[in-house]
Amino acid sequence: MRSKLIHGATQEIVIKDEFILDIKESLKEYKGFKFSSFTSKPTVIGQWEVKFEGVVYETYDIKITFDGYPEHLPKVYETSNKIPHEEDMHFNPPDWHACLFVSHQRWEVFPKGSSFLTFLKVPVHNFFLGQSFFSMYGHWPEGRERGHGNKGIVEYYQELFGTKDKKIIYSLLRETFEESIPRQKKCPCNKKKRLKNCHGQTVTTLKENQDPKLIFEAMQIFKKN
Amino acid sequence: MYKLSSKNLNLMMEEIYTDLDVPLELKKEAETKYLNLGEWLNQDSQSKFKSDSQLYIQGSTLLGTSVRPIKRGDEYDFDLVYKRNIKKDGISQKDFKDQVGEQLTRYIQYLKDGGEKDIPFLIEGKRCWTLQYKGRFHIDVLPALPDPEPEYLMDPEDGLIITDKELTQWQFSNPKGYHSWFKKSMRYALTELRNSLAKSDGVEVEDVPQHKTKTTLQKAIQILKRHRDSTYMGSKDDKPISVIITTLASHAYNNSDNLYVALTEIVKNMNNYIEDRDGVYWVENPINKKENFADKWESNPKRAEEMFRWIESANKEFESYQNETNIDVITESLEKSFRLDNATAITGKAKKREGLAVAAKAVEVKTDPWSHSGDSY
Repeated sequence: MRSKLIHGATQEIVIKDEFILDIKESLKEYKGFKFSSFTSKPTVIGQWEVKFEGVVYETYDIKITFDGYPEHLPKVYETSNKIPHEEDMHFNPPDWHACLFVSHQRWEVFPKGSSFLTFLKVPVHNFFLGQSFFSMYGHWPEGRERGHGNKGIVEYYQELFGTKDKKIIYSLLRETFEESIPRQKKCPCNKKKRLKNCHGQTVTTLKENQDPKLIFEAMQIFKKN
Repeated sequence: MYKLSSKNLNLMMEEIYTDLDVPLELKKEAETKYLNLGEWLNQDSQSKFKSDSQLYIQGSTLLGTSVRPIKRGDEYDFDLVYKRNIKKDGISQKDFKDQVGEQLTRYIQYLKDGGEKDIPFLIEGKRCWTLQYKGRFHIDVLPALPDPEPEYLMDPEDGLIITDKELTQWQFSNPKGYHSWFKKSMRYALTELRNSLAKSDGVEVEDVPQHKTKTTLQKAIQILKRHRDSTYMGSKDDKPISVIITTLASHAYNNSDNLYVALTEIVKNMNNYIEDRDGVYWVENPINKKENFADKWESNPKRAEEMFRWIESANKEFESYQNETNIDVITESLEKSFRLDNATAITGKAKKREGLAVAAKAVEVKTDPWSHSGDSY
């Protein structure tokens, strides 16, 4: 961690050198993007291109700020005002940063330890591609979108486990707190199948990757419902 | 470029339709004018001739299949029937038409006396009278009488007799009856459309405004008519006539709500509804089996030739859009066939939409605003 004199006061720089290097390296793929780490909130600014197979379909001015990175996700802002900054357009109040994915999906989308490049290539790419798609079609890709707040979390686990049944999902989430999966244990979704051969793989993956605090939070949500 | 999907071809055709449609404000302006005229004519008929009259829209205005003129500055026309409830016996075709002309002259004087600013000119046509408004449209008023012996499969009470061009004979017509048939041939699409509009607007089905319920068939006919107008620009004589296009397209319509799919199906199949009756082409009036809309083809075979040639070229052209990978080729075709001044913008959007759809499909890890879940839980 470094310190730097800003406006006459010593302030702790909130981002480690190794991450600065990674960010700068990642930005080499993005022409015209600038990174500045000499402010209280390190910031990336540039013009984001919605690009596919060499064709640019849309551009958005964006700003990315880092606060507590990488524990906390960078915040992405659209500054060209081409998109209405509203919750329905997947921006979060009060500062209207882009809502990139539900926190529960982080292990899958941008696992801890991954490069900033992954952040740009997956959630940021998807977000602006989705926005551009919406501006042309009036709906999100695949005709659906994830709900806000708890609804989004519920939908996420429903997709992950491939079932809408909340009781089953609750039981499967509880399984992640068990030491191991007993061989003969039946799957909550189908009494004729063994858990190991059914939803067991997803339970194990979740157990190995997901923050237990988040799993616990999700269980509370499913219990309430 | 990627080939345009049927979804994007539909959106492209919808944009072409929007460009060709008669603007709503103009329709409303014309409506105000003819309601006012209708009321005046009825009062005048009662006091002068001791008989009722009705003024109502007919033709493509009634069917909702009018298209704007090719040149932006040209006028729109609105077609009206002026039906006087009197008997044809005792009045000659010429006197009948002259009486209407005289009434319309007095109507114009009435407007002047009332301080009205928008005063139309009266122009005599072969069968009808035209009220020429300054600005962007004119209203054609066709004098008509009730048909004393109507023979129609639908709405016989709305059968009319009108003068011929030489003012020596009476001819038969039933625009309301034809409209009823036309509505019937798209009743499935119309019901679907009204229900979905009522749902999205949160209103009762019967409260959905008329102007919003434009069906895919109507739009397809508008596009075909514009294609025809553009093909026959400058050589009007043998061009396929609107009532034949409308009748054949209604028969060939497959109820698709995708405008592109509907159009390609129509031009592929509309030929099948031109009958050959002992060597004579027939396009039967669907509400009057004795009337052949193609009766002029016998004395003028060029008309039949042109009809078939035009359908074939439209068929080839529409068909080619779905296999085309060069957007410039489609742009050129739209410019030529529809005389659009914004063809590049329309195809540019189609290309962008297609590219984004392909890019969206390529996304492996889905994040907001994507979702692969259902809409309820």
